[in-house]
Amino acid sequence: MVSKTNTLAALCIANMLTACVDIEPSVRPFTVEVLAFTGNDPTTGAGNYALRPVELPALLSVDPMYDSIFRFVEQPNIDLDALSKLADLDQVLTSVRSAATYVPRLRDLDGTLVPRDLMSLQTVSAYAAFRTAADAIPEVTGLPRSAIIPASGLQVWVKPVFTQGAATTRMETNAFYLPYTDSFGLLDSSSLERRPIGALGPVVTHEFGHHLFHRSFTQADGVCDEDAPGGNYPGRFASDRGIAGINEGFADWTAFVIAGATNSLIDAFEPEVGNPGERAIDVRFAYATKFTYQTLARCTGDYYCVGTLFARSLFEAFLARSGEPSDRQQRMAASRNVFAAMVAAPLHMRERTWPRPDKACAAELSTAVDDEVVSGFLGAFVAGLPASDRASVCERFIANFGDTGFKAEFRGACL
Amino acid sequence: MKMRTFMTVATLVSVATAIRAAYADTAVKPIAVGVAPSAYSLENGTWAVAPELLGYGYLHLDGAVFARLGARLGSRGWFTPDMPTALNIHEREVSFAGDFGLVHQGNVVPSLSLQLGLAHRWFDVTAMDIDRTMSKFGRSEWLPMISLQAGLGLPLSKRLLVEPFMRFETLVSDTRLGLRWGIEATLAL
Repeated sequence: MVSKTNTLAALCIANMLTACVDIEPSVRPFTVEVLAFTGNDPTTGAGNYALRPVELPALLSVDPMYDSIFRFVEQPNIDLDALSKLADLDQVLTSVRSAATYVPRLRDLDGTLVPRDLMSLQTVSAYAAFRTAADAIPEVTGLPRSAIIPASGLQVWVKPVFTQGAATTRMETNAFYLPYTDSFGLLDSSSLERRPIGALGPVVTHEFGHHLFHRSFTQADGVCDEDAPGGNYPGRFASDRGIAGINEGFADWTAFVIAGATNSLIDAFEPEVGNPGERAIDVRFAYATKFTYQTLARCTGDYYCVGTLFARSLFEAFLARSGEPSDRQQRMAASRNVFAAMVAAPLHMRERTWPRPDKACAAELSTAVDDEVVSGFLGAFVAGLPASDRASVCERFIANFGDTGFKAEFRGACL
Repeated sequence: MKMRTFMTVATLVSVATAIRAAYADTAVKPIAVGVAPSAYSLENGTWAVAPELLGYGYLHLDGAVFARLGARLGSRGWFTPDMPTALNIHEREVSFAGDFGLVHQGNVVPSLSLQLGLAHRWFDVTAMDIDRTMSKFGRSEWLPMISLQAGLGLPLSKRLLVEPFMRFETLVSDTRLGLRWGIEATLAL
């Protein structure tokens, strides 16, 4: 190590400043120290984590950082107005493509690349979790990876800069997924966080779950066409508040399936920021906030609460079928059925005639959660499940959503 | 013995007096010490301040041109971005560098200098409820460093030189090049 440092120093001095950049710190496969999620604590339900080296065989380069699927993009400029219109997304994508690929600050310690700062730790940890999720696609969905990953790959925006007119802002304390751009985002951390959000495996796999939702439900629903008449136009459900909740619940379910996490946010924030109990999908833990569709007021998270009920129902049905949460194969088998049902759900929903909503094809969500849409979705989802799973899922949907969120007339597939 | 001590002191005083006389009409003085606080951008786009102590020796080369040799003792990492409470990394550094530069004496004193040095960097890591048995995060390191600095000195009095500067610096194996902006204030002795 000493002699390597001396060699680098000599190189650097000899070639002045230019030799000091672009030093590839290690050879492939890269071994990188990351923040790894190692499972839920069986007593508290919180996540267990370790700072430890992991080998990343698919990573092609760390300086800059990319592989055959993911490219980490350094501070792309994102026009929020363009982002809100599907027609202007090319402008966003052009901006992202022209941005530089992110270079994490790493140091080589005995062959292990160790991040020097929090954002570098966040990016390499996120990469490890994203790649694990991408590699698991055939098991999670039953489809080849090429059916889920776009040919142009996926982008991860690191510290994006958002502009709207003359205003520019750098947001913090979040990670996100943006459908139609095939992009994820990692923002700067803050002291509102307990652990850096973008470094947490459950959060990253939750975001990847949004991509799976986009490639299943949203794609089957179609690209919104506001010129189409009536209430069954393509993309009818994309902007529905209840469906946005289901999207969140499906993402939490994905975090469970891929990472084994039963709460994607419990480790992210300080207790005074939000209530992690509202996002627990395993209500056997004491910290879990217990509520149903009839008592949604006990949950403060707006449509996310609908999602939690959906994820809880899937998890509880999994347990009812004697599923073991720590058994990866069992989780994957359950996931494939859920994914197939998610693809089929919009098609089943269209078997009835829907009224036209107040905000057809709007950029923002509908004003309120529509009980009819939630019920329609749940009924359609059950119709797409194999017969062996229907009874357990129906029982939990009825228990959690009751007669309001899962109206009797939509329970045909449960009979 | 007393005579030898007296002769030594007298020689040093006369040499110093001669040097002072030689530099009497210039804005730069043979020896100066001072401070050089600088600002640099953090990972999250905010700015931090790094303190620095420095000493200079000037050597007259030709006309209004002087060679400036110096030493710097700096530190940084005391201002860090807002971070999560249960996992944060504070990267701190103390550095020592030699400074080799040229200055041009005049109403203003432009300068250009190269700095070579060594930085000792250590990492204060808070990782509450996180298994660190396999982690190498906290290991400290020595990093060779090179900087190029351009400044413009403003003689505020015969002894006080204030010099805004821009420094382009890099540390070996820390691939990110950095730009610092600062102000040196040196007092001639």
